Amino acid sequence: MEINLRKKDNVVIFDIKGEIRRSDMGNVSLHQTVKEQLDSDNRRILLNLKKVEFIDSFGVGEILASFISTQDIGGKLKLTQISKKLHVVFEITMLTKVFEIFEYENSALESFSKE
Amino acid sequence: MLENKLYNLLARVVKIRKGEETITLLLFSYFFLITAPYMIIKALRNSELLDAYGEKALPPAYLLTAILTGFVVVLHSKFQVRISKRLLIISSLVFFILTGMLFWLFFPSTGNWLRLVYWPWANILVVVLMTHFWITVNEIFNPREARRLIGFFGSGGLLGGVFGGLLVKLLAEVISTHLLLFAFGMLIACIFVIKSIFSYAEKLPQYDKPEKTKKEFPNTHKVGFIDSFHAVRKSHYLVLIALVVTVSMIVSTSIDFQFNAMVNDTFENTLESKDNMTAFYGLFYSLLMLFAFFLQLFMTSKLIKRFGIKITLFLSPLILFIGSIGIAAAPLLGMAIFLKGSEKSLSLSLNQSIREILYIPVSPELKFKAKVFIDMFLNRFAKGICAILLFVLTYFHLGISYISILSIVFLVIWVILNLKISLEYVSTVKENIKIKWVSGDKAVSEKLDVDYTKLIFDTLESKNRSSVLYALHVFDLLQHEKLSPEVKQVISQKSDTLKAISIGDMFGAEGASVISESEEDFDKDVLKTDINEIMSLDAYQKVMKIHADKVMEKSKEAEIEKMELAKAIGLMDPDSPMADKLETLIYDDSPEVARYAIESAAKLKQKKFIPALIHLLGNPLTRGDSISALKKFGPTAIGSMGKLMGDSKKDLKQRKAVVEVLANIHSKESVDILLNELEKRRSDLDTEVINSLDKIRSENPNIHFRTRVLKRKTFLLIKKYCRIFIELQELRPAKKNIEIREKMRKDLSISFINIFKLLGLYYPYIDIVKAYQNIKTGTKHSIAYAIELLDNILKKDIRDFVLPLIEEYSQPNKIKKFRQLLRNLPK
Repeated sequence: MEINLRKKDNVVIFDIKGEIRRSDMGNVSLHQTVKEQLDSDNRRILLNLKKVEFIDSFGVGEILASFISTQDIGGKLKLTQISKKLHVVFEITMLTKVFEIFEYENSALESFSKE
Repeated sequence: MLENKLYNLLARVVKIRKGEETITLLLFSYFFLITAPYMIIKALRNSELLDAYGEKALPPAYLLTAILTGFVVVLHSKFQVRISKRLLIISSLVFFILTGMLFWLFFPSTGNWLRLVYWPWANILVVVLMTHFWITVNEIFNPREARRLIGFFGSGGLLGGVFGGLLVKLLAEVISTHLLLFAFGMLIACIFVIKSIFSYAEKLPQYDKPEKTKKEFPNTHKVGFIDSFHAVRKSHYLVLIALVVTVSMIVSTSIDFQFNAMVNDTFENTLESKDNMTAFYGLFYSLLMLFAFFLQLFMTSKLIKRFGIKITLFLSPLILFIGSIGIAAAPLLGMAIFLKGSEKSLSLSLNQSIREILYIPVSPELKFKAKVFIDMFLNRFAKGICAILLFVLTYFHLGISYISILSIVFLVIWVILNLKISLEYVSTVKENIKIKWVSGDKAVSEKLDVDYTKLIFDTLESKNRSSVLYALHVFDLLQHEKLSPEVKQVISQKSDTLKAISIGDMFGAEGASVISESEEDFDKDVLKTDINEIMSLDAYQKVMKIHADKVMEKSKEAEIEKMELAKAIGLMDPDSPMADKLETLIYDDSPEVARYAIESAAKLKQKKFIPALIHLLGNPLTRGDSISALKKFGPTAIGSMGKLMGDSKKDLKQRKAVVEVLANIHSKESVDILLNELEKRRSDLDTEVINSLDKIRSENPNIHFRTRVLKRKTFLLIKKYCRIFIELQELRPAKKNIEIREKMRKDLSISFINIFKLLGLYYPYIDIVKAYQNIKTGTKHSIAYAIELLDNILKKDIRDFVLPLIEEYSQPNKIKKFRQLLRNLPK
């Protein structure tokens, strides 16, 4: 897994590439990276999963943990460009009810700006 | 008017039904008019032959009879396939009258050899006439009717015998062979009776068997002797009957020889020995017939009814065994009279009835074929075999005692064969009656997976509600390996009102194709594992709890979200924190939410949900779902349900629902709870409990119930049935009673089926089901077979109270019978 960060309209965008799975975790985890951003007072996080090829339950756990950490300090974590398969997983687990998921990055950024 | 009087008269002595009086009386006369002349012919047959040649002529006479009967049978079967039964019977009578006249004419002027020809002629006459008589009976009555009336017909024959024998006794010494003229006169009268029988029978509504037989068995009229032989050979049961007939005939011939030899020894040195002997025979047969008549009238039915066919089968061989030992020890005329008297009287009464009963499980067509071979050929053949054995014994000058030993050997074989036939009889009756329908529950469960079908419908329905609910359903199908291509096709049909836009996009045009095996990178098992793992995550539980709290704070507008939640919890681990939310959702005001929550509770099977599920049994909107859920809980839920069911103060509908649940939990505890309820003298759950026990029994035929409780309830229900029946008959036909009448009829019908369901719990289940179904909707024949089956499988203590409920009686007789049952039923 590879994470590239960029900032736009006061939102930290996580461009994640590769596979988010337990066996592929390197020195840094998604949750750890999110927490670092939160510690830097960046409370608006957008996870762009366009280039994510695979995500397992561990990966979903990482997203969930990131979500909770963000919520706990009153921040917002949103998702964009998730694969159809991940959307199905989120539907089945009802996470679509918890996460705000956007089809395009722009619409996600727009939603942040409206808050 | 006249028919009414006749009916009333006959109804006193025989279980006759309205409309049967004339035909019954005609058949009685028919039997009388063939046995009376035969008694004359027979007495002359014995005395003429013994006077001419002594007892040494008996074995060749027996053998000649056997050979000639063989020819007659072949000839008879040829005629039988070419001409109608009526013509066959009448022309046979004419033949015997004409040939008999020749004997009468030539007896005085011809040598002794004519006596040797007269013997087989007389024997062939009785075989042909008797067979024709029983064929006629079978043409007109079904097995059950025949069994009911056999006693009466048989009495006609026996009375004829008494009459014929007395005529011989009174006139033998005066007119000797001219007695034959009386015999022929009676046979001529018999022709007119037979004509009347057939004319009368054709007008009877039930007389449709010949036509039916033709349709059912197109080759009926091409049946010959070989076919008759093959018909017997192919049926193990008929082979057993044939062997019993053969052995009993060998015994009978051996006894006949012993008796005739003793008579000849007694009379051969007296003055006018021949006419004295004829008179003796006349008196003997007359008294014999009289004894047999009373035996038939007062004992046969009672014996069969009391001991059943299985025990009465052994009565004859046992008595003859004792008699044979007696004559072997003391070869005296008195002993020979006892032996011959027992053999003949039993043969004419008990054995005749037993034989006809044994034919009951054989189809009319097969019986007709078999009777030709067995009655007309086989017993003569047996006589031939015995004749050869007697030849051998008399050749070596072995006396009566040795011939008695021969009888004893064959009596032992007879007993062994009877043992076999008694076992096969019941199984043959069972084979003859078929299951008419399967229970609704069974039919549905055999053809349909109800839970699966429900899930498909819910999946389709969820499509219009929310994408999450839809996805949860599709996953549920996937989890249960039920997402077949056909199911995918059905659930992927697009709906105009599809709200689930995102899941629609996900599934694309093919709907559920995202979970298609054709997608290389998609693995169903991986998905299942992922979902389960995600749901087990603490983080997941935490966020979902927050979501659930928010949703559950809302009221009606969150119905769909609550449904989603309830469904999703069913996919989670039973110990997950989210599972605690389910109880609240079970009690939700929305029946839809409650339904989903109940389903999930059934999946998680946590004991803590049981009280809520039992509580919802009282709500008609959720009762069905609660019943299904509690069924899935199985034995865990029994204790709580048992308490509720036993508490008569609780809601009756709730208690009835509990009974339904218990029917689906096949454990000893559930059965015990149901039986305890049944043990109560008055329970408002009787029908439900009986239905449940019946269901348990139908699914586990080997399960054992406490018979004492069931028997007691059976008696109580029989009592109830009889009381309702009597009250219903006594109810005045007033308008105000219409409703009461309807209710009573319904109660009567429920009591009847409940009696059978109870019987099915402690008697072979399938047999009782067959019997009940055949009684309720079967044809006249299948009803008869059903009653026959019950007659054989029920023990006496129950049989005596169950059969009167089914047997056809006139209304007044039925009321009388039911009052009698009410008096005799165990307290």
